[in-house]
Amino acid sequence: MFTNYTALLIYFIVAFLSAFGMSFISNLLGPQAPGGLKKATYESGIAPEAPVGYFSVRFYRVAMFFMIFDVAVMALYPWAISLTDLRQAGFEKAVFFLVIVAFAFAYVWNRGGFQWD
Amino acid sequence: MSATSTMLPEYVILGTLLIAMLGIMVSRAHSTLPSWIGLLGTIGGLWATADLWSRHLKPVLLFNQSLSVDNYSLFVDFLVMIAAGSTILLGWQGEREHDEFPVLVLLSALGMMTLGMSANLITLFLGVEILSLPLYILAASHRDPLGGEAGLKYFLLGAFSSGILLFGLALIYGATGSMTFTDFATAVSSNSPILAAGLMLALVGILFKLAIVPFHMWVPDVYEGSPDAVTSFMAFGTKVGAAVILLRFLAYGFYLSPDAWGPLLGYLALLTMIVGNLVALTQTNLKRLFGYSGIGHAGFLLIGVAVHSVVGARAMLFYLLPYGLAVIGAFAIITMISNGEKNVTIHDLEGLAHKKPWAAALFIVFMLSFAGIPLTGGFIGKFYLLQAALFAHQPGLAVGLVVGTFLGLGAYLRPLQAMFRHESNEQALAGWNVNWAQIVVLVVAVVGTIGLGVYPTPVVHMVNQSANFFWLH
Repeated sequence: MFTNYTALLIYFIVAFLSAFGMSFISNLLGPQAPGGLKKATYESGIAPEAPVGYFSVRFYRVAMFFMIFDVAVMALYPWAISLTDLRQAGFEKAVFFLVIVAFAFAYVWNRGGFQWD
Repeated sequence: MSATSTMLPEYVILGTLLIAMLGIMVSRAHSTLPSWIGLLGTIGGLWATADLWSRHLKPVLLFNQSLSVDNYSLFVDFLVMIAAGSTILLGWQGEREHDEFPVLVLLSALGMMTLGMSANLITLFLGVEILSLPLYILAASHRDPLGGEAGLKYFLLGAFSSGILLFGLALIYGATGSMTFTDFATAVSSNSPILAAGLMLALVGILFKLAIVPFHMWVPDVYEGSPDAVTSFMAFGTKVGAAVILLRFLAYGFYLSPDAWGPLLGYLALLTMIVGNLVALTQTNLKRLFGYSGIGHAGFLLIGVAVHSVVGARAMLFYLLPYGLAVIGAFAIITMISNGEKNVTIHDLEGLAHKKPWAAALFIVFMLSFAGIPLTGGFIGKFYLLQAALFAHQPGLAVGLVVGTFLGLGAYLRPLQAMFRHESNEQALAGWNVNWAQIVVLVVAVVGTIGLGVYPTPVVHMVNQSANFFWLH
């Protein structure tokens, strides 16, 4: 059993060593100039303003809604591939699913989830 | 029968949930419309369940053997409808500012109903998740540090246990090549170490939801930080969901190898009964007290599963009802005292017997039912569990039940003692507030508790019809 996986094991070791070896060597040989601008926050090339402790929660909200609806719609990919086998029953269930997703979207919209402020 | 008509209670709840969301959209903020819709929906669900029950249907397997609609699942629907309806009523005033409260309660109830019907691994995991995700939100719905702690703690530990559960289910699937419970016992590799490991991991995941020692650490903090109505829902509904899926999972899937899990669950039941009730003795915060007592009661419930018999299954299923009725009744009193604002401690009960004798009398009924005193439902439930333990030749479990009951009695008498104290503290009942919704819950709970204690025959009959699937598969 193990002989079959020996090649895989060697592959993992080589991959691990090369990944960490490269960052180790660049750390060893590269020029070191810590401090100054390197530690400043990068803000699209503009000089950073006062340090900000927290992200605005609005970013999280947008990201969360994006994730939720993205994942929901992603469930349609396996459905689309096997639609020829599922026939009408599968189509009906996907329509039901989409109605629920659309309902959730309408709910979030109505409750002001997409308003920026 | 089509899937639509046999799953009518579930469809009613799903429809109610969507209509309640529509209600939130069209009504102004903090209106009672969503709560009304939710309440009517649970009544409709009860009616649909009763209608299905009265038709004496044969068990039906739906959706490629993933759901089983039988008397067992219908009885679970009854319990869940009572839990959801009472939760919506208890949160009528205190949770008014959270418009989504009834929707989330119904969604969680839908998960519990799924667990009652579940007959394969996919619906098992789906049910656990549908049950848990709304509860994470509900636990954190009060924006104070305790609420945040409750929500975060419940979420992180719950997600972790879901991961363990999923890993276990994947191993079971890997070992048996099937998702359906009934295929596990007859699978070729039924004594493989992979299957045993999968069973253990899956048990850890389910026992976490049931709050069995040593997977109980989250309970007191989560109960304390959650709003009162949500705590009552967790104490009743979550226990129902976790207990019934545990029973069906083991009774369908692993009935040929009870030696693999019976003794383990027996020792855990013993440990849970003793530890839960012992720690409940020292609690002064009432919600923490009910948290630990709920752990103790989960230990009692586990006896019914551990003895692996029809009598045990019936006893466990029966015990859920008196326990749940006592929980919703006690929490109705707690919401009257707390008014949704403070954590009720034993000191807040001082003088209750002199100022509000009726509330005190009802509270005594629920406490005595928890403790298992005759003429209350709790006594009958404990009697059947004791019987199940003795029939299975497990005197250790019987002794553990009696010891746990005695310890619990001490824990429940402490709040009663505080109620009768004369030198009451001035702020004890400052926030006293009663509305009709709490009265409804109290009436249902007290009629049910005393009714079960005096005349349990109808419910016993129902339970006997529900848990007779055991050896048929």
